[in-house]
Amino acid sequence: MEDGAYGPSSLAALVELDRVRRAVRLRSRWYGRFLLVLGAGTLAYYVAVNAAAPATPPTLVAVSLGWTAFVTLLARWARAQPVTARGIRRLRLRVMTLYFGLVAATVVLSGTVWHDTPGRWALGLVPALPCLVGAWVVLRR
Amino acid sequence: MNASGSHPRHRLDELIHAPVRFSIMATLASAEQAEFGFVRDLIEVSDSVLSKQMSLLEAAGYVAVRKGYVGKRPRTWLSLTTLGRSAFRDHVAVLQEIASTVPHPATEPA
Repeated sequence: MEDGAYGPSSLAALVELDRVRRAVRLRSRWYGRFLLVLGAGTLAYYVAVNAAAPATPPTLVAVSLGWTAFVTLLARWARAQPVTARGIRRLRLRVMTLYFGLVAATVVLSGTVWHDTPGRWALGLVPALPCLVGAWVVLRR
Repeated sequence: MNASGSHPRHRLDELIHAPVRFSIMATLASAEQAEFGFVRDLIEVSDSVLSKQMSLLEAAGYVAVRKGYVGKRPRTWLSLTTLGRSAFRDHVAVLQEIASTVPHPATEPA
């Protein structure tokens, strides 16, 4: 190939690079939707626990089973996604560390300091917040 | 891979420069990992073509292949190695250098 012929083929390669980058970025937005659903589900769980108080054992079992099913389905859906854009892994590590830390902290607070307080469902907003912020970061890309 | 010469094309990685392999590398460079079927559909090739090109890139140490399951379905995950990411970055830098020398059609004299 002549030296001059490399120009058009280089331009075509850069156009292709842009095309696949955009496709990967769009197809990786699943993680933003994952975080939105996790945040909303977490808040719903706190509301359900609050609404069920004082909980009878069957209610506790039903709420726990509902939560386990929700998390299992969500994790399975996430595992089935075909692509993860660069940079998501670091974000995921940060969001999940924060999320589980805040869930643990709010469960402890809910069972001790705010035990039987009517508005303690609002504690669910605390772990939901990093999910919503993470979703915003991913979906605005 | 590289012959000596002043034109930037001498610094292109011939393994990456082939169109299908370039598309594979470009896809994986944008991703942490991608599933075989996703790459196949995105770059519009058959399973056999993708497998063949992946073998070449894997042999060069540019791509890592991981097999696993999602439920009972077997899946193959592809990702770039550190070497592959670095080689692709260098290759794109050369492409940009060459592209920058191409006159823009709008600026061409009539």
